[in-house]
Amino acid sequence: MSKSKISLIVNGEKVELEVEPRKLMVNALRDDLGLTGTHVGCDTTNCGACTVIVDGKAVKSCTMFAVQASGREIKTIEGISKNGEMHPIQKAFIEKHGLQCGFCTPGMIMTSYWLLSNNSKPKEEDVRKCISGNICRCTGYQGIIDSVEYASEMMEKEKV
Amino acid sequence: MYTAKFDYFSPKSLGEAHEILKTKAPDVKILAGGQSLIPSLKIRASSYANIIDIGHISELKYIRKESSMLKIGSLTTVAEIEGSDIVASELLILKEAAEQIADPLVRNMGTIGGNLCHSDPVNDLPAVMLSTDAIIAITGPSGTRTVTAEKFFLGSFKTAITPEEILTAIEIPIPGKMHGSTYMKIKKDSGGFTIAGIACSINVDPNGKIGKARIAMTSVGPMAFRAASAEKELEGKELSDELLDKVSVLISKASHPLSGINGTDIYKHKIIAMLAKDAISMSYNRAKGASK
Repeated sequence: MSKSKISLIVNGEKVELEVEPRKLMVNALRDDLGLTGTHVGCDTTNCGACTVIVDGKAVKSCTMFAVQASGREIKTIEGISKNGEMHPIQKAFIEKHGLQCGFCTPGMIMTSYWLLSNNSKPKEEDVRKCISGNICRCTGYQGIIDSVEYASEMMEKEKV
Repeated sequence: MYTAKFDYFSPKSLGEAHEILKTKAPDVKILAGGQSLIPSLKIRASSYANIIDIGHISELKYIRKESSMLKIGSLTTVAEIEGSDIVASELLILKEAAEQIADPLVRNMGTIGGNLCHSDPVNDLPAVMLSTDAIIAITGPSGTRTVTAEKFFLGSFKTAITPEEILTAIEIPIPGKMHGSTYMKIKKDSGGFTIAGIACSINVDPNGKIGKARIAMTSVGPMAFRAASAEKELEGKELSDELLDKVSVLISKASHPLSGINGTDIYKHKIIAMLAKDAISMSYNRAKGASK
């Protein structure tokens, strides 16, 4: 049961890791790389607090072994701000009260990031469907949906 | 949560995967998207000494139309099926089932091959395979073989695949004109398991009489299964309210749901009868409207 050497790209930087094959992606991010923005919520593929982007697609990092990510590109919540400035989605979550306790927020933001990278002007229905794998126990979701729609407007303006 | 320890292999080709399987079977498990396997390993409902990750075998990832067949590589994700134009135009039932599976994040990882090999009675794609006369392609130490969906599913978490084999592709005959199909199900919440589901596929003749009918159910028995009595009752007839009533009773009778946290068996009998009526009339109307 030897350790496996893996090489992957995390938030734009090449990373080499030696991990037990059974180590989950979320644990490798948090424990080996110190990227604690990605949360362990339910640890049973339900809540989405551990959502990260793998090769451009949002996935639950509690339901993926780190070894599966070898050769792939990962983006976490730490990787979306630029030069210390928050991403428009992060700003929108503050502006539109998209969080209360904040535990689900990194997952919500990463799922929204994936949505907005495929669909720059999502309708409310699209947002609802897209975040259906992310659970929030505080906001009742409306603030989150408002935040994503507001982020989409801000990102459209920035493009112009 | 940590799974039990295992040795990990990540072959880059099917040939390489079979070399590893040859030496490690039978205490071995294929890892595709992992959306059923990893949760099961984490709660230690299962454990294997060797895990072979086929996630890097790109030759298993495709959706294409070959003459009258739709061919799907086993590593194709549920999200890719959901978003495929070919699937939407040639086999709407598969798109409809795909977009109802779990949530978008799970669909980004979960694969069609994994869904079928797992043969969980709550999985939706087995019923779709039964209703579309799908053929399952499998490679093993002595080459490739094909099995009909009917012969592939053997029971709860049991299929015709052996530990030395890999499911490589799914081949589904593309329906002709005057055909309609749909997949309908009930689940409690986005990521929730299917409480009851039904796959229906119907051909009609120009006079509106039903030709071939296929009806298969999810989550109301130990595995996905066809309701032969209902199929027979439909064939050769025009659809009427009386016929729908009769067939929905047959489907309910053919079902053997268990009581559990998602409802009692009595509730599930009622739900499957209701879904049956909706799915059969939707398929029939689609067939008459000649949309697939």
